Amino acid sequence: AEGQSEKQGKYEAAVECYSRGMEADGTNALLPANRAMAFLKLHRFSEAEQDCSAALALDAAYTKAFARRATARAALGRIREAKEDFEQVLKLEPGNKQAMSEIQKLSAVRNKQRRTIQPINKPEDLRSAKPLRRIDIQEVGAEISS
Amino acid sequence: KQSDSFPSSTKRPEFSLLVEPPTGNAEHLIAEILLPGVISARSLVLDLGEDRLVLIARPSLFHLDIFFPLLIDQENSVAQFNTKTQTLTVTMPVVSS
Ligand SMILES: [Ca+2]
Repeated sequence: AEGQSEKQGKYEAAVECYSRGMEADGTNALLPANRAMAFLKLHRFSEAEQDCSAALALDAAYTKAFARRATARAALGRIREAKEDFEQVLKLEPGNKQAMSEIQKLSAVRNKQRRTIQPINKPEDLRSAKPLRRIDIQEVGAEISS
Repeated sequence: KQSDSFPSSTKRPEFSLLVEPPTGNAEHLIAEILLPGVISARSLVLDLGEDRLVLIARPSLFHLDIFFPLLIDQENSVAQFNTKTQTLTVTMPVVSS
């Protein structure tokens, strides 16, 4: 069996290989997405996240890049953003089992993390004097036609 | 009282006020407001003050008028109505808490 440091060496070599590839061709989304995978294996999560974002800038419908970025963000404790990325995976691949189960897990984590406050009764003289502002409401949730 | 001007069928919707991130300095205040029966954002009127949220769902379905224990940035607040979950989510940057 492969030792831990041997594996690590392999992923480091992969990072180098993909880095060279990216220097030669900055338009191939596969390269940063694959380097992101190697970064994930090396637990270098910030770099993995950046590479996924780079891949998504080149290909906005790259499911694996969303899934890997979600994994990186979850590892960085950015649960809300991780969940949003897995939701993108589901949009692109409805029924994706990994995304569904990860969303469920992250929701449970988030529910524990919720920090809520209560509205207060404010006497008129303590209220802000700034006038109210009308806010546009964006409508979401319509069925996606694909 | 302002709410007296609404018909008695007008309800106060269920809502929650979340602070993000869960620990440390408050960066965003997120209001999640449940509006069962509302099918379009077009029937909603949302006004934000620096310390206040006023929502009306027409026709006289819901009315909410609440004050926050912190100040928010009205100019950079955004609102989304999800027609599937019939939930209005208002995300407001926190200016000071
Ligand atoms: Ca790899």
